[in-house]
Amino acid sequence: MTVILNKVPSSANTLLLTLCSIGSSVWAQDPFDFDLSDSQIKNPLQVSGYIESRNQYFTVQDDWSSNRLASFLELKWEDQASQAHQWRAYSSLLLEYDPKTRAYRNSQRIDFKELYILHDGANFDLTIGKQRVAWGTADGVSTIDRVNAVDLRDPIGNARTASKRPSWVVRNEFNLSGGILELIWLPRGRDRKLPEFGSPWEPPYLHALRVQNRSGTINFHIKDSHKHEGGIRYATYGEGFDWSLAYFNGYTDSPVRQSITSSDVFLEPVRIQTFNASGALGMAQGTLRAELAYTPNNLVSGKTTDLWQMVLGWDRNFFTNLYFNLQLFYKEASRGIDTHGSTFSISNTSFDDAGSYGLRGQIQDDNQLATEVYFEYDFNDKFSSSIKYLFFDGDKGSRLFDYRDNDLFEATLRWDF
Amino acid sequence: MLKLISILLNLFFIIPTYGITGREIMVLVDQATNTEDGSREATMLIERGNQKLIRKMRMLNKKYGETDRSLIRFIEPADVRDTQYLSWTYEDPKRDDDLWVFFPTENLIRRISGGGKKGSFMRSDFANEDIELRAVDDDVHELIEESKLNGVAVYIVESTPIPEKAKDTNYSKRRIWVDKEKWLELKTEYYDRRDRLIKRLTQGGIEEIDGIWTATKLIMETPRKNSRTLMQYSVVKYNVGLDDSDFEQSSLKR
Repeated sequence: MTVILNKVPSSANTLLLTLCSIGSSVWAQDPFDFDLSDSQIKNPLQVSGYIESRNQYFTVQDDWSSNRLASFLELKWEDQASQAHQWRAYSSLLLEYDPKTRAYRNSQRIDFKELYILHDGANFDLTIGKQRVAWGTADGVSTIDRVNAVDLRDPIGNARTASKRPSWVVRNEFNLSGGILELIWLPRGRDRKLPEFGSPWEPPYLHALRVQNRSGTINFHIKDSHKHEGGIRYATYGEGFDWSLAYFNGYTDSPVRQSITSSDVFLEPVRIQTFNASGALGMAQGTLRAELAYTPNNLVSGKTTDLWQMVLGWDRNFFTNLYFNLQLFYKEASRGIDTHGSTFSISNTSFDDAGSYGLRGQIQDDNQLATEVYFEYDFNDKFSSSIKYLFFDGDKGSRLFDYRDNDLFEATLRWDF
Repeated sequence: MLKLISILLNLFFIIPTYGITGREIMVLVDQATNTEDGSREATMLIERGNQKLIRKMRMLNKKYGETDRSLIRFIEPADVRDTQYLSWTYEDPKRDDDLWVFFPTENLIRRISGGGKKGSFMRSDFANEDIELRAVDDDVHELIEESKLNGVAVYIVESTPIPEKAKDTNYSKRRIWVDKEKWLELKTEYYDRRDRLIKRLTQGGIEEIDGIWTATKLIMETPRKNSRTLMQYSVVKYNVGLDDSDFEQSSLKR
C-alpha cells in the first residue's frame, strides 16, 4: 500500500490521508473529490515477491521438521509496443534458509522456479524456458498433469495435491479457430528431484538401498540420463463445455526400474506414455469435470501392465462463499490391480473475506488418508498468515503409510511486496 | 352510476402515469452505454474500519450480438497479480454464463461456475454480480417516481430479478436513479430479501468519452459494515477495435 500511495499524485495522497483520518462515518463534502489513478499499471517491468516464515512441527516425532525462512522474488517484463505481437519475460527465484533440514540437506538453498521468455502472437505463441504447465481438468488427482515432475524432496503441496517442479520447455501454441493446439518438448526431460538420504519424505525402499550402499553391502546407483520428453494437446473452450485430447511421452518421477549386475544395483525412471481425454461441463451453480487416461505398458511392482484411469469430479458454490469439491478416481491395471478413492475440499470465508478456512484431502483404498484442516488470514494487502494441521494414515505397505510419522502442524507468516 | 363511481375512485386513488415504462428506461440506459467494445483500468480503495486495501485491474469487454465477453486482469495486490477472469455473458436469461479463471502460478485455465456471483469482489463492497454486465431482461423494471438528484432530473426505477435469476443474486430489488438526459445510472440502492437497504452505489466523475457518457468514479457503501469502496476508472476507451482473440482462452497468459 505504501508503494502504491507513493505513486499517487501528492494531492491524492493528501486526500487519502484525510479520508483515513476523518473516519469512515463522515464523508468529504464532494464524495468524488478523490484521485486513485497512477502510472503503476503501465510499467513494463515489475518486481514483486514475498518473504515468508514457514514452520512445521512433526507431532508424532515431537520435533520441528522445518523452520524455513524464504524469499520469493519475481521479475516480469512485458513489451507493450504491439497488441498483435508481444514479448514477455518472467523469472522467479526462491531463496531458502532452513536450519532444521541441515542433517540431510543444505540449509541455504537457491532454486530457480521459473525463467522463460514468451512470444504472444496473433495465431502462434512460443515459450522457451523453465515453466510450470498444468494439463487436465481434474483437481487433486489428475491423469495428464505430467509436464512437471512432483518435487519428491518436499512433495506435499497440500493434503490433496502434490508439489510440482517447473520444467525446461519449448512450448508452441497454435490458436486455431476451434481451439488451441499445444506442442511441448522438454529437451532434458522433467526436473526430477529425489528426497535426500535421511529426509522424512524419503521412501523406505530408497532409504534401504542407500543404507546398504553406505555400508558397502552393495554399489547403488541412480541412473537418470535426462532424456527428452514431450507431448501434444488439443483443447477447446466453448459455450457450456470444454474438452481436450492429450498425449504425453515421458518418464516416471521416481526411479522405479531396478537392474542388477554382478556388483551394482541400478534404479532408473521408466518411460511411460499417457493418452488422455478430459472435459468440463458448466452446470449453473457447479461444474462437472472428467478425465479418462490410458497408459500402456505401465510398470507396476516390477511387471508391465496396461493402466486405465478415470476421474469424475463435481464442484460448486453454496450460499455466498461455501465451496465444495469432490473428485472420485479409479485406476485399473490389466493384471487385476485396481485402485480407487477420492479427493475432497470444503472451504468458506470469514471476517469479511479476510479469513478462509476449510478441510481438504484424499482417501483411497488400503485405508489411505491424508487430510488437512487449515485457516488463512490476510491482515492487509501485504501481510498474511496461515495455520494448518495435516495428518496421514494407511495400511502397512501403502504409499501414505510411509508418511504416517509425518503428521505436522504448520504456521506461516508472509509479507508480500 | 357505475361510471360516476369509477370517476370518483380514479380521483381518490390517483395512479401516476408516465410517458415511458421502467423497461424502456433501462433499455435506453443499456443503449446509451452500448459500444462495440471498450477497455479501461480500474483502481479500488476499500475502506473498512481502519483497514485500507488497494486493488488494481485492467478490464476489456466486447459485444457479440446477444453475448458480452469481458476480461479482467488483476494487477494488485501482488498475490493475485496476473490472475485473469474471462466471462461470456448471455442476454438470454435462461442461459448460464461461461466463466474461466487463469491461475498464473500453474499456467492453468480452469472453467468455473457462476455460483460465486454473490460473493464479494476482491473483498470490496462490490459483489461479483455488481461487476458483471447485467442483461435488461434479467429484471422486471418498474418506474416508481420522477424526481431530482443533486439538481439533476432523474427517473427512479425499481428492478426486481425475474424468478430464473432470483437464486443467483443477493438482492430482492434494486432502486436505480437514472439521469433523464444522459441515460446514466447515478445512484443505486440494493435491498436484501427482507427488503432492508444493504448497499448504496453513487456514481460521479461523469465525462463524455468517445461520445459515451461515463461515470469514472464510483462509491459503494455498506453502512452496516461501516465500509465503503471507492473505484476509479482511467484510460477509458470505447470502440477501439479490440481483437476477438483478446476474449479467447488463448489470450490467458502471464
